Amino acid sequence: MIKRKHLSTGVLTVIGILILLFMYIPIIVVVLYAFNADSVNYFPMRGASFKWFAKMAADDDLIRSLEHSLVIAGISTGVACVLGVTGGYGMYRFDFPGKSFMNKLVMLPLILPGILTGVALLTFYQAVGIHQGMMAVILGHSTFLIATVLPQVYSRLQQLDGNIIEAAEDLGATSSQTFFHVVLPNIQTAIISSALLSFTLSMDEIPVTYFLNGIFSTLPIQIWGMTRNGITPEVNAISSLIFIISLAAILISNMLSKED
Amino acid sequence: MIEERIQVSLQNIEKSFRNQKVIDGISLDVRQGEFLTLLGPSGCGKTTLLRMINGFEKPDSGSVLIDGEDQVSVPPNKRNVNTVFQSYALFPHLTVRENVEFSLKMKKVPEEKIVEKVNAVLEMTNLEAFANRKPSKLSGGQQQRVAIARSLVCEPKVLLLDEPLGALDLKLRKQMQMELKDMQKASGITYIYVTHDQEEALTISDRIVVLNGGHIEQIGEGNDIYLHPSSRFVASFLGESNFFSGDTENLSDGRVVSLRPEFLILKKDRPEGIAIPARITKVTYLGVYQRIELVEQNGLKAVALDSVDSEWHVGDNVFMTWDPDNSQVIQEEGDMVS
Ligand SMILES: Nc1ncnc2c1ncn2[C@@H]1O[C@H](COP(=O)(O)OP(=O)(O)OP(=O)(O)O)[C@@H](O)[C@H]1O
Ligand SMILES: [Mg+2]
Repeated sequence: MIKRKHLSTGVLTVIGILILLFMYIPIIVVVLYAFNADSVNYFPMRGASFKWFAKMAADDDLIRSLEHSLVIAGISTGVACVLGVTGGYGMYRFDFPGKSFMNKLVMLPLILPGILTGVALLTFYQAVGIHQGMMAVILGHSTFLIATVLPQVYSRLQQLDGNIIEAAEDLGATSSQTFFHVVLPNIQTAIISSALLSFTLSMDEIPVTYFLNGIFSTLPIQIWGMTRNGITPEVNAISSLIFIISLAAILISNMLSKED
Repeated sequence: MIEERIQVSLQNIEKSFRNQKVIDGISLDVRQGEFLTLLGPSGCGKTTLLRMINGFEKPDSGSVLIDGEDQVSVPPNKRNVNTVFQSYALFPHLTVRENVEFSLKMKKVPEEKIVEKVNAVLEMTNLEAFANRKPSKLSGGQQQRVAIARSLVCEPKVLLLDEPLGALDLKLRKQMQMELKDMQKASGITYIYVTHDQEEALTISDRIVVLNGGHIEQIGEGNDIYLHPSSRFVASFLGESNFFSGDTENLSDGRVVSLRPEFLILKKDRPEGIAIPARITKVTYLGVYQRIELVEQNGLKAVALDSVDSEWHVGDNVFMTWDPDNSQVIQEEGDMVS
């Protein structure tokens, strides 16, 4: 009996490790190749260097697309936070018919295929006269990022002891004082964590951006373009950077959302 | 309490939640500076009644007056009333000092004034040593004191306390009851206190309001209610009581009387006057007293308290009697006969 149990946990461990390897080997390879001294990707590598990072930094188109991505991710995350927090707080404080339905509906953009969201937004923006370009992309990203912020904020609010809001009013605070001095400090980790997640989601978004960008490029679209003629070590370099930054953001986001 | 000014006046309050009547026509005058307790079983509407006074709930009909002024259009943050919530509801992100400062900061009181007032309240509530701790690092009793300190710093006219000692153990409860009572006397603030613990109500209050199913059963001083309960509900909710109805001998006028166990006298031989035969079913020693449970021939149960030196045994056939001055005729509602 005992032996069998040992055997099965052993098998499970091996399967677990295999799955992790399956998921992460490609990324590890990319990171390794980023430091390749050679321009041809094959093992064993003949030496390490930073030259692809230097080349990446000198690539004006790449840097410009990075700037675009940062601006888009920054602004849309900001917009999504403001709207997501107000929306979540509104849903928390006021009862209205169809509230639970709305709570599910708001998550939809996360589940829907990006292509669908992209087509829908493009059609709608053309109908109301918003042209393809930076503005359209920012609006588009904000829309689906609300879906990450609002539910997180709403669920944190529901964990809150609702009496502290009444206590604040009982002690003479106005509604806005209550919001800024009592509610906000108690949900700020949820906001920061969903903001980090939103930022990374926006940074590597392709489908929606592709429908709305018009002529300019964002980082993932630029990289995608560069790989059409095969993967260059330069792409490996920028990918490694993105990997490390995303990893940090997601780890911080996880840490914060686990807090209390 | 020489001056009997009315601080809070509830007039014909009614309130329903989804067709369920929770407050059923309550009128009540609370005097300035008194310690008034709302006592009643769970779900009888105590919290709801408090929420009408602090403004978080609006009555369907009737009015709430504070210092003679109708409060219909006054929002909770503008009422001169503060509340100690059943769950304390301390701000978890603020220290004890910041919790206590909160209301003064919100009202933009000048900084020196805040420091002065907060220090005074922290001293009064014995919280100076914990001023810089977060609420989660405090014991239940300390948290409770912070909740009170936070309200008292506003110098309200009325303090509402919703079962503030409910979460504390018995010993701390007793101690806090005394502290609360002393604090109330010292400050002269009107306290409206909610509890479902009859012993606590008797210890702490100037007056008790016994609530049941959204209406008032009886209002009065604890002692008075204990000795002269007006209904079977009050008699059995506040302490223990025996009920004897008119169909027992010597009580042929059809009324029901309530008699506290300490007034029920047991005799081996048939006494003059009231004499109800019964058999002893259980004897429990309680230190100075013994508690004797009996059953009448018709199956009704009774309880007596007697000093331990009298000898009673299970199975003894005795006669129960009492001094009619000690019994209380109660109004019997048809549906309450058990
Ligand atoms: N917001 C509400 N919506 C619906 N029903 C409510 C609401 N608040 C209270 N009730 C109902 O009203 C009744 C009285 O509730 P209340 O909280 O006033 O009782 P209570 O006397 O304070 O009880 P406890 O001693 O358990 O705290 C209960 O039946 C409760 O279910
Ligand atoms: Mg209650």
